[in-house]
Amino acid sequence: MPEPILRAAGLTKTYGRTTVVDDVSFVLEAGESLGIVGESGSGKTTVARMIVGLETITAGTVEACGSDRTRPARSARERRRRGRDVQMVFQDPYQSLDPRQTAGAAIAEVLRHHAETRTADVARQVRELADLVGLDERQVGSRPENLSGGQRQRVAIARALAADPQVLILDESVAALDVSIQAQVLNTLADVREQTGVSYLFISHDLAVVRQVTDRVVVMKDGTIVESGATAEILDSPSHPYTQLLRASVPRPGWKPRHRTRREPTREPGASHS
Amino acid sequence: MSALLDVRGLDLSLPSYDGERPILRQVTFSIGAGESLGLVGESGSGKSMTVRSIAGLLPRGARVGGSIVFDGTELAGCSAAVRRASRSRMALVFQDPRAHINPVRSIGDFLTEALRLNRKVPRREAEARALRVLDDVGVSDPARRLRQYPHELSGGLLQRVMIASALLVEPELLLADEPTTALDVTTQADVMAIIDDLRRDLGLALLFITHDLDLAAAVCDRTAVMYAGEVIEVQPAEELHEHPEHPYTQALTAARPSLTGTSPRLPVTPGRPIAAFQVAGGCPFEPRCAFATDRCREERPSLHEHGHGVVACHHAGALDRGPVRA
Repeated sequence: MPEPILRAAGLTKTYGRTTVVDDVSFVLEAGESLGIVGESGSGKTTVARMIVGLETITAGTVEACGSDRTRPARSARERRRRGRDVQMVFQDPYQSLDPRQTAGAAIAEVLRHHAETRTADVARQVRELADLVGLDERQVGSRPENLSGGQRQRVAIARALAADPQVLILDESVAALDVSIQAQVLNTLADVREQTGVSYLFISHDLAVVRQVTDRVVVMKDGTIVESGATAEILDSPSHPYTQLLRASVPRPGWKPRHRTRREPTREPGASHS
Repeated sequence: MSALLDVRGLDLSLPSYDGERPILRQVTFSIGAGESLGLVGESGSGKSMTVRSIAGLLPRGARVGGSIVFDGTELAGCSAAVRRASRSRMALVFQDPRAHINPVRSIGDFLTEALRLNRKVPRREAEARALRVLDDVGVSDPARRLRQYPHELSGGLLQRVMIASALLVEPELLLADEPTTALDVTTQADVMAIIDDLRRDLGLALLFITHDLDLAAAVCDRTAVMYAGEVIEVQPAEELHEHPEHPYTQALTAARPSLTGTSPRLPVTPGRPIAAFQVAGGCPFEPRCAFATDRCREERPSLHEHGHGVVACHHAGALDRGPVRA
């Protein structure tokens, strides 16, 4: 069996006395798509941010493409290598792009930085990446203000792919899109994986979207993994009560919303395990 | 059954830098007393503006045509006094509770202010009524909540406070604009259960705006679908979910991934939704429609009776219900 492309072992994050991620372990095989499902405050985004180095890791280890990335990178070269291995696409395409940069320039910048592409080849590669995510020539020349949410998210995906990563982390990347546009971007994600062989770590609260995009899934609650396995199996016959609750809360015709017996606690930052 | 709310041929245009822009065109639907109607569509389709027209919360310079009759009273172009009188009988709940509550006033102040100032209810009695509605919407320990501030409550809890405040005026119609979109699914189920119970207990009529067809099918009696500022289809909620008639509704239903299975590719509609002002002469969906003909390009379809409801499509009924072109 080949080495997994990404391995998280015992990942833990605490802020002061509050533990937001507690002993989270999973592996992502090369070419696989793994979902992380959970509600707000479950720690799923913090896991992603620790993997790409946007948060320091309190305990545990992360290994990507055969090299350890638990500690912050010591040198620019190391940081750049890590950036080449794992890229991330964020939720809000209105905030994650530079408003002064055209779509093409945003993609070209990453190409020059990471792939050490010769200047002559940059334009060609920008076109190829734009093709891959379904952006036309006019859109490549546009600034974000002239692009719709779906188009912006395509730019963000193309930009992440420009580094030629092994792993693409998608953090609620289709959550803000309208249904018809979301379907287009989900199809694009399927095409990209088929053509490039990139692995996805797909973070979402939307069970139907997760079913469409991922092979396996881990379910998180209050910073810990409560259940994991093949996506179809977990969604068809969830064994953990929390997964069952999640599944039962998805509206459908004939659905009768029902009260939980447990009342909402007052707002507390994350879950405390102290 | 005479309708509690009857919206007929509602037109709305707003001023913009290049002249007046149409936002809504010939919006038509009605809600009976105690009935719930889902208003479904993608961003920019005019759902929120429809609700704002009904509530009289339009921006300056808005021009309204057509008619909005609430329990026999015409609201389109009515006087401020008529508007005030109608407003105490309808209540609004918005998507983001934090944007609609004063962060430096306590929950108790927020809930009792209108009663004390407008209806001259003594403070003690106003607080007693606030406690009662908080209990109705399933907020635990209501006496403590009255002394708390918005930042101390979670989003789901705060949305319940907003629903409680809507109920304090004892409305007959609840206008809910994506009230659960910002909430987690389990909290959404909770809040929907509360709205559902209240509706049955108090006989409230509900206009429920959502982008989620499944949610509308689950909680509404009938669903109206909007596209480019028009209502293009109204049907009993489950019927619309299972047998959509308009090609746009069909495309919308098909594009949503399934919870119970996967397809290698989702059936997608090319292009993206347009706004009302971008519509040329014909059917607003024509440029994206797989069934479009010359007639669709030239003649704008209007809502006509079809099946269990109404639909605005020249080819309704003649369409093969197969998947829309992928």
